[in-house]
Amino acid sequence: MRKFRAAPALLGLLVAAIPVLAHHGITSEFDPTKDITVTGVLTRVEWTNPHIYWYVDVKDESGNVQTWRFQGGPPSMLHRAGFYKSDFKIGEVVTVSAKPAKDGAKLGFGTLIKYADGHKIVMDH
Amino acid sequence: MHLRSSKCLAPSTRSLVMLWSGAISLFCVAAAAQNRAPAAKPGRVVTNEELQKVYLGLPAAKLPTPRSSDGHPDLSGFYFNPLDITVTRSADGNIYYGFGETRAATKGAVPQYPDPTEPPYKPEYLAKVKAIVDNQYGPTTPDDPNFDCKPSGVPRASTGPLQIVQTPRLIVILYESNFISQNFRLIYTDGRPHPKDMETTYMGDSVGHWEGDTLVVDVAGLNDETWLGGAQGHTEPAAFGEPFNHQITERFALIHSEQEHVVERYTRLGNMLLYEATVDDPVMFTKPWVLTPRHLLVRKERFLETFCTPTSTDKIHIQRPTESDRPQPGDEIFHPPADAAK
Repeated sequence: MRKFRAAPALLGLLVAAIPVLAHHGITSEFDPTKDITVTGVLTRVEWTNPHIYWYVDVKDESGNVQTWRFQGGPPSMLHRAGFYKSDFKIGEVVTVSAKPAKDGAKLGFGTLIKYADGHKIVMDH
Repeated sequence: MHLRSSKCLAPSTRSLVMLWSGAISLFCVAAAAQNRAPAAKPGRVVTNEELQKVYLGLPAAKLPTPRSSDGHPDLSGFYFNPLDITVTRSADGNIYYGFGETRAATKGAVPQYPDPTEPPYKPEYLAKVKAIVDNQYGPTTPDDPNFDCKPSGVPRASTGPLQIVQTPRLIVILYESNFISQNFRLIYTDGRPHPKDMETTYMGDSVGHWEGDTLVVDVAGLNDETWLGGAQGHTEPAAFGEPFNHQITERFALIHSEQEHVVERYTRLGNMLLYEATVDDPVMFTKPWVLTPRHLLVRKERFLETFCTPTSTDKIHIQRPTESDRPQPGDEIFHPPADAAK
């Protein structure tokens, strides 16, 4: 169905060669040159316009819980493409990679979610 | 598929079709029927066939224009041009979604669009618009009323996903937005005029009538809390220059006064809706502005609920530009981490 998934390097080339269009100017909010990764409990999903968000409770070194918020794509278009709210397994431990907000908020533009069972959601914008 | 002959055309439409060299015969027939002057700046209009071939991998479907029992075209239907998102699921439960991959699969074939138009602002208002644009980050600015979840107004609303419900004396447009909340307009086609006591509102007051096979809608009573178009495209570098989601971006189409007056034209062309609009604003414009026509595809999907919330636009996190952080070509590409495919 999607042949180039078997060849990630080729996919990378394809994507790099094509100006990929994000929903709106995401660089106005997030830093494309940086990556952050956090691990915590997936607590909530907002299926809102213009983007979906999911929330992850992360424990810091002293045991305090901090809530991180991550942005995804436009909900109606994701749904029509076959990506659903139910793909977010509330209550499970996830590791999320993201491009961080430029203003330092606990906020990121999500690029990868890994579940404890090993399966993942890869978001290539 | 492309009509090169002028045989079907009335003289006044011939130049239109010559300018829009990609226009298909469907359009030619409709244009001849309307016998109207060119409505937009020269450019190549993307055809329904091209959209379907490139984005959906479907053969051209030349459907007849449906008609309602009163003989007028039946505009009822859900129309939008799909966003280029691909989602795939592997056997081991992984999910991949990506933008722009349909295009990759079609070897980069991308429909061409007419050049964006620019509203004829008076100098003092053009200066205001340019000040807004200069203070936006790439194609994004929190000054856009959409960032407050305000309705898009007219004509901006009708360039996105919409459902038309047509009855003989009332036509309803339900807007499924890609950005703000769902919204609607009532277009009275029973001959009534605009009310004398109307308040100005985001979506205004709409009365319509048929001219041949085209629904002509007069929109007045619009408040000045909306923009004419989005910020996208205003300062986009060349690398971002491809049309987003089949949207044609206007340049500097932002503020308007409460004197805004719009005449819209909705024409069903087989399985496509042609949307045209002429906007006048005697306060801010030197002359009426003709929006670049849009072609929206008939879709079989259901209308989906869409809502914007006070925090969902992330308005407070949007940055203002400095010279050093003007976006560079390629900045828009947000790849997953390198190990994501492992």
